Amino acid sequence: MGTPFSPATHEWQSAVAELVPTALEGLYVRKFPITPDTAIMTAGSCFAQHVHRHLQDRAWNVIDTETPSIALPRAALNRYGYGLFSARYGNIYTARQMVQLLEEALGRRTPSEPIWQRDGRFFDALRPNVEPEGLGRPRLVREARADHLKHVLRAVRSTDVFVFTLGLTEAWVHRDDGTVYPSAPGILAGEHDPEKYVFYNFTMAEVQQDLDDLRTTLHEIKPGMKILLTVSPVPLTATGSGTHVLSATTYSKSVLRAAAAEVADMYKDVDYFPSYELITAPSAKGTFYDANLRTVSMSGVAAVMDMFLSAHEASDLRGTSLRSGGDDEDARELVCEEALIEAGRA
Amino acid sequence: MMKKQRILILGSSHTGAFQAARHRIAQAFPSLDVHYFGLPGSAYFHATFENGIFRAPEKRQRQFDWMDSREIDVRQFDRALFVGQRFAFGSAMRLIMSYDILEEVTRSKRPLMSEAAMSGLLEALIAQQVEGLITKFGRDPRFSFLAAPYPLDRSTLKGPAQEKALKAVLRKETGVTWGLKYEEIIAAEMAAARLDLVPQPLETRETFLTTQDHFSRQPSSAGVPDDEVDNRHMNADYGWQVFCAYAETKLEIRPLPIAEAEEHETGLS
Repeated sequence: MGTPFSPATHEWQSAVAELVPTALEGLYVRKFPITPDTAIMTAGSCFAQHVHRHLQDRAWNVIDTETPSIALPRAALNRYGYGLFSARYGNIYTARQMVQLLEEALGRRTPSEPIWQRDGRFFDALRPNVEPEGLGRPRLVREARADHLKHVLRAVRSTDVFVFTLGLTEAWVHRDDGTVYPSAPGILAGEHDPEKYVFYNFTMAEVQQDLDDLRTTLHEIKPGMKILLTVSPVPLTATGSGTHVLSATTYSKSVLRAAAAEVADMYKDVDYFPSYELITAPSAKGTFYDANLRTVSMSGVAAVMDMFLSAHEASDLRGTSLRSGGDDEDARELVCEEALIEAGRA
Repeated sequence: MMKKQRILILGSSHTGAFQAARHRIAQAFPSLDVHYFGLPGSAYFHATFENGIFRAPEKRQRQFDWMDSREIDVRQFDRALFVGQRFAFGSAMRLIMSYDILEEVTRSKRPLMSEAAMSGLLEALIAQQVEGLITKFGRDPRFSFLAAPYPLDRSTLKGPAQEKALKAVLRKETGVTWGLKYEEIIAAEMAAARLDLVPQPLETRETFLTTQDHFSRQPSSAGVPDDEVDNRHMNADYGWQVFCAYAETKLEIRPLPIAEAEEHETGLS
C-alpha cells in the first residue's frame, strides 16, 4: 500500500539520506526548457557570477553587452566589472536593487546620492566595485552610468530567460527615497552618515512584492521573457541586524527562498532553481563549501551546474568561449563586496 | 684570429626578412657568425624548447625552403634574437578601437571605458604574453625578443588584407597615444620580467604603428590574388635595418662601411 508521500523523491530517506549529494534526483524539475541558444541574462549576488561564467565557458548564449569581445585574461576583466554579468552592474544582492536599476534605465527613477567619494576619487555608489580606483570627476561617473544604463536596457531587450540570484535581505538604504545600495557606505567608498543612510532588512512580503515588480518591469521591456530565480547558498559575511550572523543568515535565506517559491508558484513564466538546496543539503556534509564554510567550493559549483545542465539535457561541453582566456587560479575569485568587509577586518 | 661571435636569429616567418639579408649581414659584420632558424607562425608558437633545444612540432604543416633541420641547439650560440613576438597586437588594437575613453573628449558612439580599465586590460593582455615567453624560454641573458613588425602603412587602405582595427585606431584622435601606451606597457612588462626587448626601430616606421611600405616583401599588391596579399612580412632591407639596430644596441657592433666590407669579403684587408 502506497503512502501519501510517494513518489520516492518526497521521502527524506530515499530522496536525500540514501543518495550522494550530487545525485539528488528530481530536485530540479524544470518548468520551461533552456537551451544553449536561449538568450540568457544573468544578475544577482556573487554566486550568480558562477552561473554566468560556467554557461559562458560552455559557449551558451549568455548576454554580455559591455564586455570586450576579445580574449582577455578573465581576472583583469573581472577587476573592472566586465564579464561578471550581462551588463556591468556588479553584484545586485536584493530584488529591490534590481527593480530600481531597471526603473532608472527606463528614466523613471533618479537615485539619491549616486556618487560616493574616497581619497579624492569618485565612485558610482550603485556599483562601487567596477572602477576600483574610482574616477577623477563626478561628471565622469554620471556619464559612465548613463552609458551603462543603455547597455542594461539592451541586455534586457535581447533576453529570453533572466536568471536572477537572490543574495540578501539586508541592505543600506537612503532615507529620502529608499535607494538601495549594494554595499554599506564607508566600505568601498562614501561615508557612513546615519542622517542619510539606514540599515534595512526586507520582509518576506516586501521581497515577494519586489519580485512581482521585477517581473512586471522586465515584461514591460521584453514581453514574454521567462525568469529563473535562485537563492545564493553563500551565508552572510556580517549582519547589520543586531542578531547572531547565523540567525541573520537563516532569516535572510528563508525569506528569499520562500518569496521565490511564492512568485514561482504564481506564474508559469517564473521558475525556481534549487542551487541553495543542493549546496546546503545535509547529505553534502558541508563539502560543497570551502574551508571558510562560506564560499561555495568548485565541486559545489560543478554540482549546481551539472544539475542545471542535466535538467536542460545539455550536459556535454559545447565549446570554449572566447572569454575564457587567462584561466588562472585568480580567475576563480569572485568579485564580492562582502569579502571586502572581511578583508577590512583583517 | 679572433673567434667569431655566434648569433642565432630564431623565430616565426618574420625570420625570413633576416634570412633574405644574410649576405649583407655576413659582409658587414665579419666578426659575427649568424645562423637563421625560422618556422611558420603556428609551428613556431607550438614548438618546444627543452634543455636548450628548440624543436618544431611533430605535425608541422610546411617548412621554409631554406630550412634544413627541424631543431636547433640554442646552447651553441653566444646570443639569440627571437623574432616575431606579436604581443597581442591584433587584440590590443581591437580593444583600443572598440571603446571611447571616458576621460577623453571625443565621442564616436562607441561604448565608454575608463582610462584605468583600458590600461589595466592592456597590461593584463601583455603580461599574459610575457608570461608565455618566460614559461617557454625562461630567463637567459643571451636572449633578446624582437616584436613582429607593425603592418605596412598601406594595410590601412581599403583593399584585401586591410588591417581594419589598426586603421580605426589610427583614425582615433588619441590612437597614437594609445599606441605609445601599448609599447610602454610591453617595455614595462618585459623589464619587470627581466626579458630583453628589441622594439621595432623608429626609422622603419611610417606612423607610430605602421611600417614604411618600401619594406614590403611584396612590392605591390597589384595582380596578387586577394588572399595572397601580404601586408605583414618585410623584405631584406627591413631585416638589414633591424639587424643593424640589434647589433648596435645589444652587441655594440656597427656594420662595416660597404667598401670596407667588400674588401674584407675578398680578403684584401
